Parts: sequence; C-alpha cells; structure tokens
Amino acid sequence: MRLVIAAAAMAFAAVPAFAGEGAARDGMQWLQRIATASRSQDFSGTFLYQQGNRVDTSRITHYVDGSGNELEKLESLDGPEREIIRRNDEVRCYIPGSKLLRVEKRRGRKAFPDLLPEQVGMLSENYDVRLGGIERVAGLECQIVILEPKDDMRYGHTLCADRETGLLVKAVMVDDAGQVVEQFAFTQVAIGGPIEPAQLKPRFAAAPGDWREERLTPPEINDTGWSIGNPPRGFKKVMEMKRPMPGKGLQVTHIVLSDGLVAVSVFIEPLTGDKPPRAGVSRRGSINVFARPVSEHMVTVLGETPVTTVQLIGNSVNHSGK
Amino acid sequence: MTIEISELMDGELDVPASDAIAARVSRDPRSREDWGLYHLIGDTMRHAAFFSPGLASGVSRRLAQEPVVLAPRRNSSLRKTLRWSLSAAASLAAVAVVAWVGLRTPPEPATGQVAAVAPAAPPVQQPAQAMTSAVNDYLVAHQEYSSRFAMQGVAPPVQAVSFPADGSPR
Repeated sequence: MRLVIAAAAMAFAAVPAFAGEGAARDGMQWLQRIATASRSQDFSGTFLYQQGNRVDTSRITHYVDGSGNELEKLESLDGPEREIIRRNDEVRCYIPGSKLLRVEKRRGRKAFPDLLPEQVGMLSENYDVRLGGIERVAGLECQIVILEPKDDMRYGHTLCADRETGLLVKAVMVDDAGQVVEQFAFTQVAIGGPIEPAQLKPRFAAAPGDWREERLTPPEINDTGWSIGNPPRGFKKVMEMKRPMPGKGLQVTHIVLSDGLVAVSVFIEPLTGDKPPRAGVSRRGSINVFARPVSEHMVTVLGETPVTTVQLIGNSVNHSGK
Repeated sequence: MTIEISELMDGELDVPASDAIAARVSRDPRSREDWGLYHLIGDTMRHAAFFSPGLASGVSRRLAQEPVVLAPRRNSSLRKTLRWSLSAAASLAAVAVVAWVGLRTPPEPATGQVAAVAPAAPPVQQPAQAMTSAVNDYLVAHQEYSSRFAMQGVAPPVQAVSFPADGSPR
C-alpha cells in the first residue's frame, strides 16, 4: 500500500517544473520525499556516525504498523551496550551496564535518518537547495541533495537519498573550509522489510528486578526572564526552561534555538562571585562555544555552527527581568 | 576496537600491533564487519583531518602542551564523576584517545589501577580552560536536545574511569 502511495507521489513529483525555478523546486521536492520516507518506510540497517575523530556504529530497525505508529530500535554496536526503543515519541533507553532503563519523551528531537523538519519549506529560507549527481551508497543508487547556506551563520549539508524510496542513506555536514563536521552513513540497509516483530523487541525486556527505571519528565517550558533580542536569520527559539545542572546547586536557564537543521544552546547561570567571569570563544570538536557575563550572570552559547553565530547569539542575550 | 581498525587501515600501526588487530579482525565477525564498513566510507574518512598521519604526533603534542593529568582525584570529585556519569560523547572520546595514545607510548611506571599520562612540558594555562568543566556539563545538556545521533543523548553507564573531553580530572 505504501509503495503505491510512494509511486503516486513520485509520479506527481515528476511533473515538469518551470525553467529556472526548476532546480530549486526539484531540490525541495526531494527534501519533502526524504522527510516523509524516514517516517513512513520500513527499514533496517547499520550506520556509522562520525564526529571529529570519533566513530560510532549503530544498528537501526524502523517499522510503521498498520495504524501508522512508528516503532524503532537503535542499538549501539561499539562502546558500552545501549539500546533505544522508540514508539512514536516515547523513548525507552536500556543501559545494561548501569542496569538502568530510562523512559522519556522525545521532545521534538530529530535523529538520523529522520533529520529533516516536518515543514521542509522553512529550510529554503536559510539554504539554497539543489540536486547534485547520483552516487552509490550502501549499495543503493542515491540522489544527492545539496543544502548550501545562504549566509555564514550555518554550515552546509549534503544528503544522499535512495532514488527509489527517498530514504536518507547518508548525511554530511561540512564547515566553510570544506571539513566534515559530522556525518552519518548507512553501510548496509534493507528498505521495505519485511521486519519481524522480534527485531523490534528490546533485548533487555525481561530485565530482572534489579534494574532501575527512571522516568524523565521534560522540564517545564517557561518564561525564564531572558530573551535573545536579535538572533541570526532563521534561528528561532524552540525551547526555554530552567533546569538543574550536574555539579551546580542552582537551576540554570537553557534556551534552544534552531534553524530547522542545527540547534544552538544558550545557558545562563548566576555568577557566584568567587570566580571571576571568563569571557571568550573556545572550541570543542565541532562545537563552538562563546561565553560572556551579562548582568551578574554568565551566558554560555554553544552549537555546531560557525563561531560568529554563537557570538552573535551570545551578544544579543538580554535580561528582561525575573 | 573501531579506532584501532581505522588506524590499521591508515597504516598507522607498527607491525606487531597490526598483526594483533588483523588477527582480531579475522577472528571476530563484528570486527570484520567494521573493517568492511570502514572501507566503504574510507574515501570520506581520508579527507577528514583527524585521520591524517599527523594525528599521533598532533595528539602527543597537544597532550604535552596542556596541563593534562588523566587520573581522577581521589576525593569527592570521583564521587561526582560517578554521580553524573558525564557526557557520552566527551568522555568516551577521551577514553578512546587515552587508550589509543597508550598503545603508542612506551609503558609508564605503574601508577595504580589508573593509567596516568604525565605532561612532558610545563603546563600552559589556556584562557578557555577555566570554562571547561562548566562547558562539559553544558555539552551534555546541549546534546540531549540537539544531537542528531540519538545515542548521544543517552547517559552512558559509568566507566571505570571517565574523563571529560579536555582531559582534566573531575
């Protein structure tokens, strides 16, 4: 049934576009296809995640049941054993090394291969979207879609999607110097199933009673009294909250901004007085960090963006009262 | 193991180490799978600066320059480490680098159950360093909301020894 719908959608998408606008429109249509495929296709495979000098290998199984519920299992293949079972927005993380089961809501977070926002249209505000060539990835013929930033406030993205189903097979984020910031790549993937129910079962479901279960409730979204006066174009606030932080007695204000593809976090905590504030820029792997004091508070901004972006956001943080 | 495989692929291991890894790759199906996988994306990996042949000397140089003591303090900071279980990304990466540097540096005199890499050069205070502890906590919090790799938002089981990305003790 889904195949029929996909075929119909493809036929529709193939209607010739107006000359000139055509390339961009094809690009946007592909983005829409990619966004839909990651949520609607059944697939299972192994992918690599590379960030800096770190590589993680994971196995993913994704299944959509007859009622449209998404079921997904993600297993870490290297490092400590971890397993994440997702049913729509409910996420269960099994951490056998700690005998810990964490249950939480996904909070609108995006994860490979479901990287694109539901409204792909918003991406064209900040990125020039065009089609590249055809590349073979994980044994599949893939369409390359290039998202080139319209300004220097964000990095570029290259997506490779299976030509037949639209499933995202590879995604690379590249900085302005052409260096890979992070990338995902399926090394093997089977699309279209069949997926056996056993493939989606957690391995640790029959965990003995000595496991701890932790239910995390998302922090309340509230007005923290802080605002980002003039964020770079395309970055919108998606989260604002006060939250406890490891190693800190006080609650810290955490504001998240996103341009639809990448997120920037702003942390604000009161200056304790015993330490002089340290302002400036630093870098953690692919993440740029900017800190500056603002009215008796320390503001720290970090994200996978150019350094100018975190600086600009940091400099437009305002205290609007309690 | 994954890092060792990529080193093997990049020809960065000496002969005994290469033999050992190659033997493991041929024995262990999962390593073999990794080996195959890495070759598949090898082209991209080779373009990444981190896998350049200068990595070993680069890491050693950085370690020498920074006042890095890769051992946990004995007091409350260890408890703190256990309690907060650190960032998956930062600590695992650091542990990996430690393990990896350990492979290629001559054995140090035993320092208890924890391997310590003493700085060769006098510590150089980096301006950003005072921020590092806070930034590590922020990184973890940020990744919970931002990382596009779902595993990254999951707190890892506490490792025997874990270090933040900057290598300073917690």
